[in-house]
Amino acid sequence: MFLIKIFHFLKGYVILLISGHNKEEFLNSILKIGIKPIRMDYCDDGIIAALSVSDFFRIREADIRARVHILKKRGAVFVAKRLKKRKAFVVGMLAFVMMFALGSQFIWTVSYEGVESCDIQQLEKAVELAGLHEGMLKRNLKSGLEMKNIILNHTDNICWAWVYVKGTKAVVKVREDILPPEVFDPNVPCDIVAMRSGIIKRVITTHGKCVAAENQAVAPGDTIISGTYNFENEPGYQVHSAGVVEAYTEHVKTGTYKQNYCYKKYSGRKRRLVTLKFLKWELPLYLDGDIKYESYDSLQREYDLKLGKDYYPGLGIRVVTCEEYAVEKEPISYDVAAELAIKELEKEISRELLPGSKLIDRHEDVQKLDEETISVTLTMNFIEQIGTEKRIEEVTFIEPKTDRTAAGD
Amino acid sequence: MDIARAISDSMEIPCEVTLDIPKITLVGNMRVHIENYLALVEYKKENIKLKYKGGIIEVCGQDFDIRTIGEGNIVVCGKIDAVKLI
Repeated sequence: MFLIKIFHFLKGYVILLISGHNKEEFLNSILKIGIKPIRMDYCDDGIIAALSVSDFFRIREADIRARVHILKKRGAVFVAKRLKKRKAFVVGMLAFVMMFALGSQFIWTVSYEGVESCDIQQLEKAVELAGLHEGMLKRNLKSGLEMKNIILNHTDNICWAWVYVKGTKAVVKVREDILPPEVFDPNVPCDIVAMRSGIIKRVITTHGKCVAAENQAVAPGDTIISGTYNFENEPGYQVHSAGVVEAYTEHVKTGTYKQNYCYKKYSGRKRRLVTLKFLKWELPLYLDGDIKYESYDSLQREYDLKLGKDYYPGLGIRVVTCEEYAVEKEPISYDVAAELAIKELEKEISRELLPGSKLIDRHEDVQKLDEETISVTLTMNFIEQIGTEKRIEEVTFIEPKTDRTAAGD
Repeated sequence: MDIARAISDSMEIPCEVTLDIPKITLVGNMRVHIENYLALVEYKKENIKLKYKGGIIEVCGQDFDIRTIGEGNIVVCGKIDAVKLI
């Protein structure tokens, strides 16, 4: 239906009011000579019918007469006729179409997808090296495979990349390497050492030789399961140690806190810095760019003119809003301050914990230093698996005694 | 007429072709498609009368507008209450 409407618009049509006593007979007679009204509707004054321009000039051929008034003229023919007088408008339209056609030959934005942990600056450099940058002609783009190879060769930690060109926008999609956790080669000799200090609760040795006793205090780096076997009379050998080491650990955190709550209070004073962007150029629409507020938040927003989903004709504005604030302090009670401090210290300790840790005991010590300052010490005891593999770097075998060989001989 | 009908029945030819009678197709109560009519007799917002070989077809309802009209076929849209053959 929409296409038919466009077809009628291009062809041009007139909307007529057919009135008089013989309007139905008139319609029958025009149908007989092959004139087909586009649409018909009834109104109090008569019948409203739409006829194509070519059909309209043929209605004189009808045998029966009725009153016909032109209500509206629609279509490209009539629009063009009206625009003939408005030369500046036509020139503007043509300029716009030309700008549109010219603008669509360039890449105006480059965006990245799939970047999470890899170095974005390195990726941007690689993309530029691949010949892709804002404001470049689309036809100067290298082939997809060529760009892919350059990006892959100059960016670390990515395993796949491709450049998609959508309208005037280039989207660089990458897939990052998912590195497997470091696993020691089971053939490489290693010890199990303590990651942090603690008191050994128990050691389950599956491979190697346990050298630490229960309730023994260990420091970080101390060997708990050794992979080196030394014998008095035989040559020693090394194995890949394995086992579980559970130890009691203690985490202590201390902090000094004020008995007040700080928050931002906005004064309501704002300043907007608007910059006009056109293609690669920027035109600041302000005279003084200095913000004279003591402390302020700034929010940057970009508004790009877009036609459709992906077409960006290169015109846009950037608005930076600076909002002044003052830091206000509100007194809080001793209990609330202590609670907030303990929560913060808990968070700090939780960052240090090893996976699978079990809390066994905790102790909080809150002391008032002065009227508005408190000192909080949080002690938490856990059972943690502190064992970690450490490669045996130096081979320290004890040479077997030569006496045995001599005795044998 | 009867002979023509008998022939069309025996040869399984559609009646509207051999007998020159109208074919009326209703789509719910919102659209009616009439083929093989002879002339438009009356067109108003509430009723449309069409002449056919054996009499008049009257379509009654509300808010009628003619979507398509040609020689021998017409599509009328609106709220159709009744289609009468007078």
